[in-house]
Amino acid sequence: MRKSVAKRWLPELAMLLVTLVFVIPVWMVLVNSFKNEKDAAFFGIGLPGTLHFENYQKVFEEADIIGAFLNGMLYCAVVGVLSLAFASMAAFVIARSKGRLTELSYYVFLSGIVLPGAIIPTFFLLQRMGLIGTYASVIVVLLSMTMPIGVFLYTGFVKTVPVELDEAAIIDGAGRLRLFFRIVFPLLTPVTITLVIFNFMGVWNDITTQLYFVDASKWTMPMMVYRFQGMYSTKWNLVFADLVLTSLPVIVVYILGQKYMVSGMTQGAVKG
Amino acid sequence: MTGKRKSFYSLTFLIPGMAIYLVFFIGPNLLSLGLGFTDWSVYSMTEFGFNGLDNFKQMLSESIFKKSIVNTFYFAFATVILSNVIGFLLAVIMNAKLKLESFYRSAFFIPTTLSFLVVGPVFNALYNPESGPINTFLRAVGLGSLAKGWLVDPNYAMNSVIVMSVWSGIGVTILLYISGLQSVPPEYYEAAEIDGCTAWQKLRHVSIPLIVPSITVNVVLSLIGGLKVFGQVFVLTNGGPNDATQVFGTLIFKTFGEGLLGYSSAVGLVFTVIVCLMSFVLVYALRKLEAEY
Repeated sequence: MRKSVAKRWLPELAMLLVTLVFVIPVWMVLVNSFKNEKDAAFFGIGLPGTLHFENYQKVFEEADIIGAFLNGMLYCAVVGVLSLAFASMAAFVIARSKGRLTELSYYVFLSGIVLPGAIIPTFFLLQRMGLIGTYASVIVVLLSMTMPIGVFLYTGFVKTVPVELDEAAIIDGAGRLRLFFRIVFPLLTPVTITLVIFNFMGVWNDITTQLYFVDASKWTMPMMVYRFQGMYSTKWNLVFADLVLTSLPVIVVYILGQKYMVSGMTQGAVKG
Repeated sequence: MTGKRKSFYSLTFLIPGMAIYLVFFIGPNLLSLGLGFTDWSVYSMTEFGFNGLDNFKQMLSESIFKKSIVNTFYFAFATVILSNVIGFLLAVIMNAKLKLESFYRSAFFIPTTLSFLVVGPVFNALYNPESGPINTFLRAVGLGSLAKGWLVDPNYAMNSVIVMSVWSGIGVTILLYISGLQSVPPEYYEAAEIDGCTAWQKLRHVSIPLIVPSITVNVVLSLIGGLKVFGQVFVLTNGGPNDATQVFGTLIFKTFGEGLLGYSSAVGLVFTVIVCLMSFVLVYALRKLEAEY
């Protein structure tokens, strides 16, 4: 009897200890974001004596939170919508038609999972096209980078949608676009939700494209942290408040979508 | 009817995604085959010429290039081993239907949702030589001699970056291992139990052989990600101190910052070739392993 109790609680206790390693840094940021400059410099994990909400007010005034938030939302929305539409359409054709060209397309897309992006030649291309420094430069590059995983997950999933459905729709007189967007695309929802979260995190947290292709006025919140930390390197209370605000959008998206993400990821990977 | 059905899958649906991807991803990769052999720089943006193998000769003559290769591989292998060994063990424990499973899951996964630009300052604080919690803790428990300048000492900087990287990325590894473990039919464990297998034997002879595909996916993904490291180093040390953490990603950024665009493209080209070669070798090796089981 004693052994079974130990057997039941030992893994639980071990996991609690391990999670401390993950929870303590997050906790440290949270409590110190409410302390004054002097106390925050010790990086303690104790609760603040008084809550200094003015840290947050100061960050809002100094760090261009709203502008950076809107930049991030612009990238996430445009890249997110176009990526889902383009990747699902491409995957539909790849999964359904058996031609050589579609097979080749699939492998060309998949190569993007392995290949690193060629940053400097991309800079060259964007510069020649007159896109360097524009929102469009970040959007097209991030869009092209999200295609491989999108095509991969969608292709695996489309194969599980019965072809008879397409045939029935065609007999009923549905056109190409109607067949895809009205009938097939809604059935791909588990993968779509997974990709919404993936793409949101990828775009929101992107460093490289913004660093190389646009100036700070077009940066997202995480990139602005980098600038802010440089300017206020000793004011850790402000830096931590900035970190809390920057993490909030992506944590909200994670909490809303975690249930779908896990199932979508495993389904897509297993069926693909 | 078949002819009609076929037209519903015409290639036009492929065009928008393929066009963007070819122009802005594959295109630049092909461009690097040309640009890497030029003397293109910010001082001659529009007029530049081919300079043969000069860029590659220069690379080989510089110690920073060799350091970058060694560091990139060290980083990649260390993160692959650490995140897979620790991730697998945590997944095995979590697979035992724990009470607080969703809490553990969130604790491990929330760091993976955060940008390195957010995680960077946190670890900068943790690693701070004077007031950082790691050194404060070591001093408090009487191990003050182990307190180090985690990011400023060239002997420890790379390992410190690796620890942060594993911390922030292990959530995905754990998730993939858990889903692999959950796909093992429970009857296999029951049969093993009837045969009198110990927990270790069950792990060794039931779990591991059946989740080799998960191992393959995890190792390949973490190796490719490890070779492509940039953000982790950029936020913590930016290649320093004394190039101790210089990797390919930061070397490209550094040479870009110096305005040597042709040279920087050449570094990128070498990097691309290395990543592709490593991926092929690894996928091939793991395929063989899979076939053995």
